[in-house]
Amino acid sequence: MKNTLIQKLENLEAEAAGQLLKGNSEDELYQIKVKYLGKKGLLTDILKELGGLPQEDRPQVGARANQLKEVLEGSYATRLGNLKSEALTQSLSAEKIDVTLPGISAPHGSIHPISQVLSQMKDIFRRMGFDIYEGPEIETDYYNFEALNIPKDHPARDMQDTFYLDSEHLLRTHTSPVQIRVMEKVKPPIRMVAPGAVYRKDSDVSHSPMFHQIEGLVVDVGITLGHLKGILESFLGQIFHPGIKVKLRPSFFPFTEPSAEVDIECVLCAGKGCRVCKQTGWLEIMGCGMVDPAVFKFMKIDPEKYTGLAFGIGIERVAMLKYGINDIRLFYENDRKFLEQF
Amino acid sequence: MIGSFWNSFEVMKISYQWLKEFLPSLKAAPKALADKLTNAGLEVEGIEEHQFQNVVVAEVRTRAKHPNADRLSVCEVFTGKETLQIVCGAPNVTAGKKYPLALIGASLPNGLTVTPAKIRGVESFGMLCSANELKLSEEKTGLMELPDSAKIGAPFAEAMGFNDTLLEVNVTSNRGDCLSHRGIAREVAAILNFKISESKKHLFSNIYKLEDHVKIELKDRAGCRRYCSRVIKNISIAPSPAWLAERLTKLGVRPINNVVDATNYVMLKLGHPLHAFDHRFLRGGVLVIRKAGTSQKFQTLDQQTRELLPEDLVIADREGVVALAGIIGGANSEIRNDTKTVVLEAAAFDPVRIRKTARRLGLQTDSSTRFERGVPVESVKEALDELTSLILELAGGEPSDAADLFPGRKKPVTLKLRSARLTQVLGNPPPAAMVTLLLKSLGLNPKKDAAGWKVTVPYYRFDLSREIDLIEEIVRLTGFGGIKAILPRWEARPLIESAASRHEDQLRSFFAGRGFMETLHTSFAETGEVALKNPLSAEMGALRNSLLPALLKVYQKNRSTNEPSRYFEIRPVTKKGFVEERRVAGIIGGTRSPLNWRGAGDSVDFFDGKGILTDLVAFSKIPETDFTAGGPEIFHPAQSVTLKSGGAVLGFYGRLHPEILARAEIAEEVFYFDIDQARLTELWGRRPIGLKPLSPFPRVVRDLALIADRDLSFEKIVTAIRKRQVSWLAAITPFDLYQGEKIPAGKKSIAFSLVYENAERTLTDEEVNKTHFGLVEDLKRELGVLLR
Repeated sequence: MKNTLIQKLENLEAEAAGQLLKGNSEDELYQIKVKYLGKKGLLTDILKELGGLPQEDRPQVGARANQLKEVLEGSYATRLGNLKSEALTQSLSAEKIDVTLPGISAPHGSIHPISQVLSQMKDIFRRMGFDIYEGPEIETDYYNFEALNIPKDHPARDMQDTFYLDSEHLLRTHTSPVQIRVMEKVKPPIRMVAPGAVYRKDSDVSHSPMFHQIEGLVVDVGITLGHLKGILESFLGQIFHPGIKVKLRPSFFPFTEPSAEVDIECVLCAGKGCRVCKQTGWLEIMGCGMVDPAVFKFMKIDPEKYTGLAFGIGIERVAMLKYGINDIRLFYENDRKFLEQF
Repeated sequence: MIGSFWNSFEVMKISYQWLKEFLPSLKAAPKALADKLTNAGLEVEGIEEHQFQNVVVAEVRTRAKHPNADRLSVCEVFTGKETLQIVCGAPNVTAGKKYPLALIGASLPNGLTVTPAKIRGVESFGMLCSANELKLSEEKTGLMELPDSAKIGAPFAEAMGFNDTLLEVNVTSNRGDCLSHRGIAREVAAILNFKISESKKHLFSNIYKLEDHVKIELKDRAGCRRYCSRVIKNISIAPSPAWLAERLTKLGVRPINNVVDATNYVMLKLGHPLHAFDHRFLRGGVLVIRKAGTSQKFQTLDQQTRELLPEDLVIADREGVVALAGIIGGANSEIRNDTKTVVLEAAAFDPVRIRKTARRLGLQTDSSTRFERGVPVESVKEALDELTSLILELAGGEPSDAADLFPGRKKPVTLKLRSARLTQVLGNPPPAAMVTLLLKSLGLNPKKDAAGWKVTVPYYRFDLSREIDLIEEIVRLTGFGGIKAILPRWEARPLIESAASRHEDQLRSFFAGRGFMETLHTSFAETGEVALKNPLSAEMGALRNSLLPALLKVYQKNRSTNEPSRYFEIRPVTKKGFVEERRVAGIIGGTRSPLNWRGAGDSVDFFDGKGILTDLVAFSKIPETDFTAGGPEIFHPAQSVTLKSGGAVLGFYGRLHPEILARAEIAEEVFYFDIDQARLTELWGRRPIGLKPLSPFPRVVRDLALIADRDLSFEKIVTAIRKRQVSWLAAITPFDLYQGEKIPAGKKSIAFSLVYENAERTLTDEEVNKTHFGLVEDLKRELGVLLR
């Protein structure tokens, strides 16, 4: 009798385990569970026969029944878990999207390359402790020429490319007049840069009738050519790359003496020689010099006490080198295909 | 010029061979010499090999008549390597003679490139050249016959001594003394510490007096510092010999005849412009250096009639002007083929006077360029003698004695150079011994004393007049390499920078972040309030007074209606009286977002742009801003606003007037704003921020939907709500606007979300309801609105 019951339990376990594996939905699985383990289930039916057993056999059979129940409930839970995770996987994969489609952007804006380079330069000079001054683009002959030691009827005026508005007013040909305006008002020490638009009557691949430059001026006791070199090397290293080779070459400007053209090692071929640097390995990048005592006299600054350094650089030239632009006119044509690249 | 400093220079072509005549010990190759000059401030911009490439000495072996052309010959020409068949048109081609032959591939000075050709059916493999074709003569006189001694097959330039290298030197405006071969040779001598071989002194056996032929009267002594003259009679005008023509031609001067060429040659050699008059045409036997006075018109050598002003410096005879002093001669006294007697002029005119006249007449000549920059007064007579000697050699004749009027004689300039000053300017100057050496090599004859040096400036270095000029000379010769680069030390203090400059980058980032591309235009426009006196073109005749036209053009040019199209610019505009006003302007059109796979976006409308400006004033923290309806005439009259801050106008925004758009050929709606940058950046960040306590209590949100007259503005409703001053009304936000079938005609439905919030306690439904419905009743009464 006892063995018959245990046999029945074992049969039931085998059958139920098989059925639970076949259940293919949560619902179906539940029905199987109820069929075997429910209050009116097959297990209960078997346990009803327990009463017919001798007292001493009952615990053994009961324990077996409990074990069976635990095993089947475990199988049920495992199967249920599997079904659930399969369902989730299925529903997630149904939500598949093409993630390679482009993101939806806001309208694309850009900042003009000239503004970008000017901004970088202003930032460099700010960090080096220079004041930033701006001045009018319409200047008088006095500020643009006379006070800068470029007298009327002198060959130094020879670049016949000044735009005049009337006999006295003109479009500034450089930002140097800003320095004169500052020196009129501010006593040394002076350390300043003047960025802005300037005008010369010229138009071709490398000349625009309006272009931009930034000019610097330092006036103090003890300012030397050594400081000029130091400032330029630092500035050019920051705007191009640290340690860039810088070479000064004597030149002539009416408002500085000694004067120099500044060459940098060609940024396109690293000084090896290419088409842009005409195989020289060097690029002419800016002008500089020590302030001419004649300019100080105009400004009533004592040239015996003070010395000064000055420099000027064209923004378009730098932007062309930095971004590989070969026609200056592109800056002013405002083609969207150009603008959107910056 | 690369847009840095203001600088001006003349390009002077220098013959390396000619330099060697001054500097026999010169060994440096042209390229090395060019580098030296460049590093000493005389930038060599180009080096040109001047070699008549592929032109060789060849011998005509046979000559036969061309079968199909009477005037042509077919020649067998031997090049030393091979015999070529050449068709030749020159009548003087002779078998057994030697001529320059341009081989296939040769580029001739006249621009012609020689290629194989079939001439009237006969093949030709090169070209026999005339002196004219080689630019060695102006005359067209058949093939250039070469001496028998010329070696067949030798390069033509070598055989003739014409091989040379030309240096293109940029001579800055302070170095007038370098506009000659001797000037450059002196520089080279200083740089390399050489001696320059000075020209020999000329002695002429003059058998008659200048005065017998012409009397020189120097009336304008301020205009002429020195005037030298001499007559040569019985000369024969002829073309110059090939050596002279070749030298002038390669240096860019057109050969004319032996006398005129001699004046140009000596100018290129010594830097003194010279002139020769035909004595026949000098009326009254005088040459007067004077002001033009009332002589009003004058025909110059180039056959142009020039208007003179009384102050112009002229050379005149008894009857009138014969030359514009220092600029150009007159047509009335020029050298002709039958000229027999010439009157020579060597002078030093006042630079400013020459420049004024030359500029005014737009007449820049080799002569005026040199006089403007100054010529050395001391060597005027030397130039006259050099010229005399050359003319005697080329054209024969008998010279007179010379006139030498020299009112501008000056003592040599002496200068001091203090060691202390040298250190003050340079930082670390070269050692004293080196400075002495450099001063010596410049011909400055330095005398060292305790304070420094005393120097005497040689007559030709008239640019050296101050101590600083000497310091520059030192640096120029040593180079900048020895100067130690150091950074200055200075005190920490707040830096000075205008608000506009400080905020410009933020402004740019703001607009770029909202889809605007920054544009940049030149300030020129066809019309404006301020016109240019000398514009580049009529379309660039004035300074623009608005950023709108340029932005409209950019918009139109780059237009695309299925993409966002937004551009801005930050630039000054020019108003009457030369007033510059910085503006920030932008144009907005196209769609709200870039074309994408979700489909084309909606087009922007008025409120997209207005929203950007609302964001801008919030971003830049401009205090007390508001928009009021209405704006300038460029806008649609019913779709524009004026942006103000505390009553001051900041700018305008609106839909551009359809007529303006039609003129720009734009059909869609386009919006534009134009802001006063100075005012905007002055107010930047001025809106105070006082933190309101963050309420821990829940907010109560009530919607309010009203039916109102269509013309009742949003602003009026909000004002009416605000008037009740409910302290815990935190926000009023419209969230729906409807006009259409579902509501009566002439009405609109507008819905608001009202947020109530109290920082101290939880608001009860009851009190919110009481306030909210009280508000509704007030609105009904005041504005005649209905609750929807």
